[in-house]
Amino acid sequence: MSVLAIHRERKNLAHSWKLGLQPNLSSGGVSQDALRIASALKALGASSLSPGAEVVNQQQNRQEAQSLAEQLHDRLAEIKVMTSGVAMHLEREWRGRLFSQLDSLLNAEDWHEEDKPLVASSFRTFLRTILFLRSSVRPGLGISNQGHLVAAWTAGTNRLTLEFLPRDVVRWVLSIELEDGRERAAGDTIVSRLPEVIAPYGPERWFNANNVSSSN
Amino acid sequence: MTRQYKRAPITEAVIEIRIEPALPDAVVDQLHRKLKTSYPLSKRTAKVGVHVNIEEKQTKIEAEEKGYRLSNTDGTDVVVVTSSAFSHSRLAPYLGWEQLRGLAEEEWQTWKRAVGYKKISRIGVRFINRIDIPAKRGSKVLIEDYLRLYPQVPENGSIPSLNHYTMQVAAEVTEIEGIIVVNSGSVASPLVDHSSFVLDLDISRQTNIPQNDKDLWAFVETIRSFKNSVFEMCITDKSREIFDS
Repeated sequence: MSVLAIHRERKNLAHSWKLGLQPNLSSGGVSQDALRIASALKALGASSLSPGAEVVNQQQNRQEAQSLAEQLHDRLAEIKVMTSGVAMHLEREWRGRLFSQLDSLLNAEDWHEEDKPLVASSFRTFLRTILFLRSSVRPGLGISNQGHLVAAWTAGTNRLTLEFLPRDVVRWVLSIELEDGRERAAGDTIVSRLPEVIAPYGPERWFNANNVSSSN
Repeated sequence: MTRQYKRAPITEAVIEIRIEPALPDAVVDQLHRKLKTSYPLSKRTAKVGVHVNIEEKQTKIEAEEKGYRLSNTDGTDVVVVTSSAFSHSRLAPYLGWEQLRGLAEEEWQTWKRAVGYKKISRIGVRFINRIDIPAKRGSKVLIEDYLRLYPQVPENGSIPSLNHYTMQVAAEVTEIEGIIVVNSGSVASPLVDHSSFVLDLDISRQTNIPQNDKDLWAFVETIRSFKNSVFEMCITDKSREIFDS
């Protein structure tokens, strides 16, 4: 019976719209999910973006040469929107502090022409790592010469630095104080393997606020 | 039916109003100046039409509709004004319907003061939700455990499991004299060891649209209420557990 009902509805819709799929059926949308849906539906022959949102999309693909200030401004806006995509998994205060750090890092007045702006795919790896590690301690942030985000946690004289590369790759460097001297270790891994890889060095000293005597 | 979740899965909520006839560029510029006081980040946009003439081997690119995308400094409240539409989007974190509607209504008043009366040709309310389900690499997630709207595959095992899906269903809704379009699909999860599905509900009306403010916003409330009931019908208790965890 439900099959019949569906069939009847389809016929009515096709009749009233003249076509099965309408190209401009949806209300606007500017988020990453809206763009993903539009892209997936486009492959099926439908679209889910309003004229307004398509505009933004098209414009992004044809950006002309920009000044450094404009590039930094656009990148900051892009990574904030990227963060909003996972905002439901972030504490509001944590997100606010992160945005303050990013505002400061991408301030055009402190930027050198030869420095590369933050790479968006590096920031994506950072977000995925932070949400995966669930660290209650906020790291200090910086940007490498290649435009990769770098996060550092310090606990006393023990230090962990992560450089976030595109496609979930994390470059880690750590230094810890042992009874008979200092040990240093470094490597590249993927986000999902990171806790396992650094486990021998007691990472809770950096990530758990209760274990941290001093941090950035 | 209104239910507040601890971790609302809404990645974007949109209220959009389309008008006709289209506005001249100068009026859109004027709107931009007025809205920029509240939304400092702005970008000029243009819908571009690409015309390819294969015989003459020529490509012509023309700007067909200009507009602006304005946002607050966090990029979470976004207003798009073009010659034929006005929309307000709230990206995550969603701060509630009252905040979204309040801002949209306020900006609509700004829009009207700058433009004057124009016939509203379409009103739409759209909510894009993403359900992030914990799932280790290699494990399987049953869509029907989380959504009541999902693609069915033959039970003979010819399609053993889905790697990806995208679906769009649309229906007329007599009680609002409009249509509902539901998009659902799997998307790359922004979280490690998770699978994510999108549930996008878009409800709109294109005929017999209230033209005065009081009726217009009352109708927007009706759409929202309908949207909430559809959303609750489309999800399962397992999804609710995730939103409240």
